[in-house]
Amino acid sequence: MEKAAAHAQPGRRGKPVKRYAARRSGWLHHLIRDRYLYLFLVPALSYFFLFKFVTLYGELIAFKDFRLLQGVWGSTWVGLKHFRILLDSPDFWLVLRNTLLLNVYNLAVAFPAPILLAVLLSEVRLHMFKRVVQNMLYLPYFISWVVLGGIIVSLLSPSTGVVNHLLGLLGIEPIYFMTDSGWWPVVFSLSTVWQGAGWGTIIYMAAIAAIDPGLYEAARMDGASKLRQIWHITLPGIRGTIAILLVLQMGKMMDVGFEHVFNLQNPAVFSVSDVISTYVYRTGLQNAQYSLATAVGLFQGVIGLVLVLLVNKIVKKLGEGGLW
Amino acid sequence: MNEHSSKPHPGSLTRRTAADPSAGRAEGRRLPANDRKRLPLLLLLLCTVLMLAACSTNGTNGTNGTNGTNGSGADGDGQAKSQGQKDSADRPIISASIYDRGQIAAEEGTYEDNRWTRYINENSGVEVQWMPIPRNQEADKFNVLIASEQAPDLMSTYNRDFITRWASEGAIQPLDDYIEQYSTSYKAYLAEHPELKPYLTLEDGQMYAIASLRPTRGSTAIYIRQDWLDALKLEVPQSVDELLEVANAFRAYKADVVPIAMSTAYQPIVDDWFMARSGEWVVEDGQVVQAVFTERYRDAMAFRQQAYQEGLVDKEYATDKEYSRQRQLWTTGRSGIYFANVSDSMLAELRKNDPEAALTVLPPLETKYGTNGYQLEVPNFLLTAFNKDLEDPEAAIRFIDWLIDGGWEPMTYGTEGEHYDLVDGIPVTKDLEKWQQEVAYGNEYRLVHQELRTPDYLRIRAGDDPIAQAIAEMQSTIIHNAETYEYRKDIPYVPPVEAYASIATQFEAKWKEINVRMSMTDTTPEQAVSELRNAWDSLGGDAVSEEVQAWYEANKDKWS
Repeated sequence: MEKAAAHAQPGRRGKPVKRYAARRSGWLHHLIRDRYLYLFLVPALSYFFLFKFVTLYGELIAFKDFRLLQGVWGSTWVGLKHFRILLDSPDFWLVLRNTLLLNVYNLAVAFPAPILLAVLLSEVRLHMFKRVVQNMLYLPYFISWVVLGGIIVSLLSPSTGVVNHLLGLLGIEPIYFMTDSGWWPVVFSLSTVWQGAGWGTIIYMAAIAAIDPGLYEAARMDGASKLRQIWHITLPGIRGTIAILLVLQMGKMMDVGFEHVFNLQNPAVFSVSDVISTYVYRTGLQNAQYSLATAVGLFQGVIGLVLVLLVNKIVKKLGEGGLW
Repeated sequence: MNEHSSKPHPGSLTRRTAADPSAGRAEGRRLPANDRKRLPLLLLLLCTVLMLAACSTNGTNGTNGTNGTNGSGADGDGQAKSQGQKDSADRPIISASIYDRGQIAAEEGTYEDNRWTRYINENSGVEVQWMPIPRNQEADKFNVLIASEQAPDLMSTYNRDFITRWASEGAIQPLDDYIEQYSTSYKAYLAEHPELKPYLTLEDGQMYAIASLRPTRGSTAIYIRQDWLDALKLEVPQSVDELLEVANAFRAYKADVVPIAMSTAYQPIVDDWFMARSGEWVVEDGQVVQAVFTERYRDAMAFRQQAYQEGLVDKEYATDKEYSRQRQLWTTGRSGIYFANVSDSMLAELRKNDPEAALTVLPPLETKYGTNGYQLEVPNFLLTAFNKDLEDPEAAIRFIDWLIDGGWEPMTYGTEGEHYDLVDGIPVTKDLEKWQQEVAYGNEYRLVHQELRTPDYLRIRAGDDPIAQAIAEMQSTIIHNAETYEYRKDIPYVPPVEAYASIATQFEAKWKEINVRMSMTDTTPEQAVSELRNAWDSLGGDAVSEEVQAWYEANKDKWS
């Protein structure tokens, strides 16, 4: 589209009719010229159309009393009934609070972690070592939460876990991390770091690689220490990337991965670990209250969208590119 | 399009360089125009293939991720269908659900295709395609199947709530006419066992499910190490207080002992001692209340708290979701008391680690409220409902008739000569391990059956394998206990009140949470009860109680 606009530039000074013609032919012209490139877009576009847009039709049941027999369209409209039920339910507020809190913790702990890691990795000079470390850091990302959950539970076990064994050597009584509602969110955030931080470094590493080496050279000439170089060159160099990822992260503020929570939670910590995704699973899939569950999902989506728009605005105000 | 591509645009350098080498290499040097025509076609084809691949992997991933083995179920269907068309064009085809308990060894095949599915297809005159439902995910799996109109013709479950809900959603249909019209054997069976009727009939007076009687109604049991009792010169405990004493003695007996190992049965058994099963309705002075709000329930909670605080149970049970630690404690001989499901003594595994191990079944234990029997299951075995879209009810009924007529027998005992020998008309298992691998999983393919486990029958069935004999002996005691002690159940099944159905799972999450948290902390039973009360109130529980009360008044004469 930008290209099309650029092409239309000359036409702007002419008469309106000419301008439209010029713009249209410009747009078409580019489409035809690069048609094979656009063809490559087809799979991605059809994916989004099929799995993101067509399914929006199903969101209708949030405003209906969905009955299986009557189908999506045939069920009776009830307006905002399910949203009202939702907002009246104390459970929902608890779930909302937990979702937001866990995400705030993640924002504080798990968001900066890959940045830190990427900066550290980029300073490693030994190539072999760097490669090995990188691969080991990526590894947890490819393991499913069912397995990671089991590993975490046994690592943190008060009787047989390594962590408590080490604490014991320091003379600290064993702590049952997984059932303590104070410790559980900590475990949750740190497990997010463990699983995702390594993988998250990839984008930052790419951004760091794109920084002009000349800048570092000049800084060294001027006698800047490593820390100074990081502070004045590396971090400003990846500022834009950080901003974009922050905006994307904000879109997920209302969303805590189902598998992650589901595999780490247990009845003792429901009060801090019950989040929107587990709530939807319980009401929708297990209890067959499809409309209510859809209302929750829609609510979650709308808030997520608002947050993305908001943060994008802020980021742009701060002078970064933002998402669009 | 093609006209354009044969007249290269000045600005399309990239495209030309991309297309030209291929034109040069292929035979198309003589036919460049043709080749150029083919390129977009090829690309389009590539894209379509990629897209299809993406779609199909996406489909299976999605279903696998959210609800277990949907993908494989559909595949199995496809296979079964094509096979069926080969060897039997005339046999009617129906589909049915089957609980996937992960019990089938690889050599035996899969839940869709194994010796018993083949046996059914070859002998029943009906071709049945099985759709596995993960046992512990039946709620979501069935919901998804029904909502997406992929549910099988016959849906089997032990949960009567589902039948109620499916009927109210219109997902299943009444069966009275079909039985009247097509059935002979099952109709006769039902006439012989009128006690089944109330469990199969819903509020509208119509029958929505088919079922036969359970082989035994015992459900939970407590196993105790007799050899430990002997070594410590202790008697078999008869009351809950004595059980606590024994447990304390066990803890001191050896190093590293966790006296009590749990399973899913732990909480139900303790609840049942005090006649207050979590999540169930009880009748107190004519008033229907949730059991958790009775006086007695406080004692159940207090017991669990005491057991935890005194280290009589595993301190880490809260994170042991699959009870694997518990099973390990029991089979490695680190626990002396096992709160178990009825046929889950795991004696064979235990003997492997500790050849001297001897087990006894605890009788129902006394509390200050008297002695309540162990849980008695509802009398019905699997409840099988007919999908509203079932095309061939006659075939479905023929299958049911064939099962009840004797089709169930091989799926219970195996094949004569291979798995059993007949002794006085009772099939005696030849090799317990072989039977367990090859026959045991056939259990739930018997949507209906006429197996009835009596003590004598079990003893003879066991043959002369010492472990099988010991297990049969304990099973006999359990059956005997079930028959001699009364199990208090004020309302025989979950009241079919929709308002309750919609809050039951929410409330269940609450009482589970409060129970676990209470056991592990210093919360008093009074505090726990007030937390339960708050949770119940916030779900609008009192209005629900009133509805259930009304239902109870209207129906109590039906079953008492």
